Amino acid sequence: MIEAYAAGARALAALCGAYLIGTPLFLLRAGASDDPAVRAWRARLLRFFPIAALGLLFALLGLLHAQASGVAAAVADLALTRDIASSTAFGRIALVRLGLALLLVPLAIGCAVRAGDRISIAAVAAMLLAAVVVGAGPLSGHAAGTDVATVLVTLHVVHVLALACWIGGLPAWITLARAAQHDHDGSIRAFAAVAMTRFSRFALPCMAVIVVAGSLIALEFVDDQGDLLGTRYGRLLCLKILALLAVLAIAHRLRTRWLPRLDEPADLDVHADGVRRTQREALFAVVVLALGAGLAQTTPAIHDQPHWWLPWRLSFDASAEVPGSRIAVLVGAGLLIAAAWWAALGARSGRGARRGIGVLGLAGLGTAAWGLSVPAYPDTFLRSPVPYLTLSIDQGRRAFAQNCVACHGTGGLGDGVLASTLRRPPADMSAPHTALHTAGDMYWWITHGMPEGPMPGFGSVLDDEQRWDTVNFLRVFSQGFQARVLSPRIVPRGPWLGAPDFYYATADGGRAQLKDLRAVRAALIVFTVAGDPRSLARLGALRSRADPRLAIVEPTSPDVWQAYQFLTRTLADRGAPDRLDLPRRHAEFLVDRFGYVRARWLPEDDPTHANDFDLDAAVSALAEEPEILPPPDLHLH
Amino acid sequence: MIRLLFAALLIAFGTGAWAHAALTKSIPGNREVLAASPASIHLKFNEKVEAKFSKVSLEDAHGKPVTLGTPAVAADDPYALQTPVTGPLAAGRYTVRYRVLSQDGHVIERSFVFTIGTPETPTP
Repeated sequence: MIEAYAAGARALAALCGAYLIGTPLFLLRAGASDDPAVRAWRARLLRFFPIAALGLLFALLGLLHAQASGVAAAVADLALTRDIASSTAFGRIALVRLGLALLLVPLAIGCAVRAGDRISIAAVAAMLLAAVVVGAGPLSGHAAGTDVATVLVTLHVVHVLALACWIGGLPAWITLARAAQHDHDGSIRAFAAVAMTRFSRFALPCMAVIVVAGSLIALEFVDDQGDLLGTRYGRLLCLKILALLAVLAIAHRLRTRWLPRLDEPADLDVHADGVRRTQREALFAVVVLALGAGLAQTTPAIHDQPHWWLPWRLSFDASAEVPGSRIAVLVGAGLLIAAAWWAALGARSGRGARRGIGVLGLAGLGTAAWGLSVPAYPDTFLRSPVPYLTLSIDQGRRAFAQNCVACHGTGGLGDGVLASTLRRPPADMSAPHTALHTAGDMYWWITHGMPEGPMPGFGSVLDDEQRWDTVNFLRVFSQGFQARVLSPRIVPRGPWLGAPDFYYATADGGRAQLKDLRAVRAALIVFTVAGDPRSLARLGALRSRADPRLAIVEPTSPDVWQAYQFLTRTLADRGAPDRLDLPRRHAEFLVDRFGYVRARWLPEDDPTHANDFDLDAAVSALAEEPEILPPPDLHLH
Repeated sequence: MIRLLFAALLIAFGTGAWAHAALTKSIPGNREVLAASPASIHLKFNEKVEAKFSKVSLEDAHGKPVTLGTPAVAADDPYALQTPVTGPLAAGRYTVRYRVLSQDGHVIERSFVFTIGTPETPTP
C-alpha cells in the first residue's frame, strides 16, 4: 500500500513536471503569433500552469511522506517525516526539490495571468526550474547506487528530461490540433502545421535519447531473462517497453502519414484524425510515465529473487545437449536472414509481401527459440541466498553423503546400489552438463524431485539452507572434473573457475576472508601437511617472499580443505570412483585478484619440483592482466 | 544550460552510492565459526546507510533476542555500522538481523548466522 502511495506520488510529480517542461518547449518551438485563436490556445495552456506547479509540490510532499512511512512500516507522522527530511540524504534532496517546487508556484501563476503573443520569460524560467526539480529525482534513485553512478545518474537525468520534453508537449499538440479542427476560417491551421512539424523534428531525437538511455539503464538493473520476466521490476520494464513501442508506432505514423497531409488544402478531418491519434499516443505516454514511477519504487531486478513462470528458458550452452537443437537454430537463423533479405529487396511495399516477411520472420524467431529452449522451473533463476563458502560446500557434501549416494553413488558418478533398479539412470554428477544447469534448477530438483524421473524431492528432509549447501557442493564437485586441466602455468586471459570463499586466521592473529583480497592482490592458497617437514619448509619459503602483489593464505579450517580437494583431480587421476574426496596432501592454488583459480601445483605429482610454479612470472602476468570477467558471484546463480 | 544545472546538482550532492544497500562484508562473517564471543557486530555496506533509522538485532539458536548496543557508523568507515555486543555470548549459533535504510529511501531487511565454539556439525 505504501509502495503504491509512493509510486502514485512519483507518477503525479512526473506528469506535472512534464507539463511544466514540455508546454513551454512546445510554445518555444511553435514561435510567436498574434492571431487571436493562437493567443487563446496559448492562454489556455498556461492557465494550467499553477495547477501543475501545485500538483508537483504536493506530489513531492506525498513522496517524502510515503518514504517516511516506508521507514516506519506504518503511516508516518509529521515528526518522523520532518526527522527523515532533515537527517537523511534522500530527505535533504527532497527538501531541495520541494523548495524549488515552491518557487515554481508564483512563477506559474505569473505565466497564467500574463499569457501574450509570445512565451514569457517567466514561462521559460518556470520550465528551467521544473527541469531542475524533475532532473534532481535520479540523484536519490536506483541509478545513483551503482558502481557506475556518475554515468548512470547522468543517463537517468537525460532519460527523464527527454521523457518530460516529449510527453509534456503532447497536451499542447492535442489542444492545437483540436483548435485547428474547429478553425473554419483557416487562421490557425497554418500556424498549427508549422508548430507541429517543428515539434515533431524536436521529438524525434528526444525519442532516440529515451530509448538509448532507458536501454542502458535497464541493462544495469536486469541481468538475464529470469530478471526480465521473473521479477516485478522486469515485468514492469517489459510493459514500459511495450507501451513505448506503441507510442513509437503512433508517433511514426503521425510523422510519416499525418504531418504531410497538413500541407494539403484545408481538410478539417485531417485534424480530427490527428487529435484521435495523439490522444492515443498521450494515453500510452501516461502509461509509460506511470510505469516509470512504478520502476523507481520497485526493487531492481538484480536485487530481487526471480520466479520463473514459463516451462522453458533460452540457453545457448545448455541447449547444445539437446539433439537437433543446433539444426533448429540454424534453420531459424536462415529464415530470419531470408526475411531480412526479402525486406531489403523492397518487397515490403505490398501488404501481402509485408505479411509474408512477418510470417517468415516469426517462423524464424520461433524455430530458433525452440532450438535454444531447455526445460525450466519456477526456481530456475533464483539467486542462492547461501554464499559459495567452503563451510556451505562441506555441509552440502555431508547432505549428499547422507541422502543421495544410494542412487548417485558414493563417488557421485550415478552408479549407486539402487541405480540399476531405477527406470531412468541417476545423473552422473561429474558430467560437464551439471555445470550447465542453473543453481535454481538444482535447488528445484533437490526440493521437488526430477519431473518424469525417479528422483524424489528432499524438501521435507533438508531445510532450505541444506538444499543450497548441496547445490554449492554439486557445483564444486562438477567443476573439479573440469579443473583437471589446471596446471602450475596460468593460461593468460583465461579465468573461468571461481574460487570458493572461506574464512581464515591471519598471521597477526586476526580473521580474514578470501574475498577481502579481491581488487587488492593475487593469493596463493597453501594447504600444508602437519608434521611433514617438506611441506612446512615449502610454506616457510613461500612466507619469506616479500611480494606485495601476492598474499600467502594458509587456511587451517577442515572445511576449506574439504572443499578445495575437489579441485585437485588431474588428467591422470580422476580420484577413486567410489569416493567423493581425494587422499591428497599438500596443494597450492594461485587465485587472481578477481577471485578466479588460475593455476595449481600438486607436489605429489611433481616430486622433483620440475614443474613448480614460476611465481614471479605468474604474479607479474596476473598483475598486468585487466579484468576479463566480473568477479565470480559470491552466491551461485 | 539545463545540463549544466544538472551537472552542478550532481557535483553539489555528490554521486556516491545511493540506492539499495547491500552487505559486502560482516564481522562475524556469514556462517563463520568463531572461537570466542565477538565484541561487536560490524556490517559493511556497498554504500552509506542512514544509521539513525537502521536496526541490528541478534537472536540465539532458540530465537531468543540478545541485547545489543545501539548501531552507529564505524569511526573508521562511513560505509559500516558497528553494533556493540554488550556481554559475552555463550557457545552456539546466532542469527544477526538488520534493517537498514538506504540512501534512496528504500528499506532493506536481511539476516545471516554465525556460530561460536564448535562448527555447525563435525566433519566426518
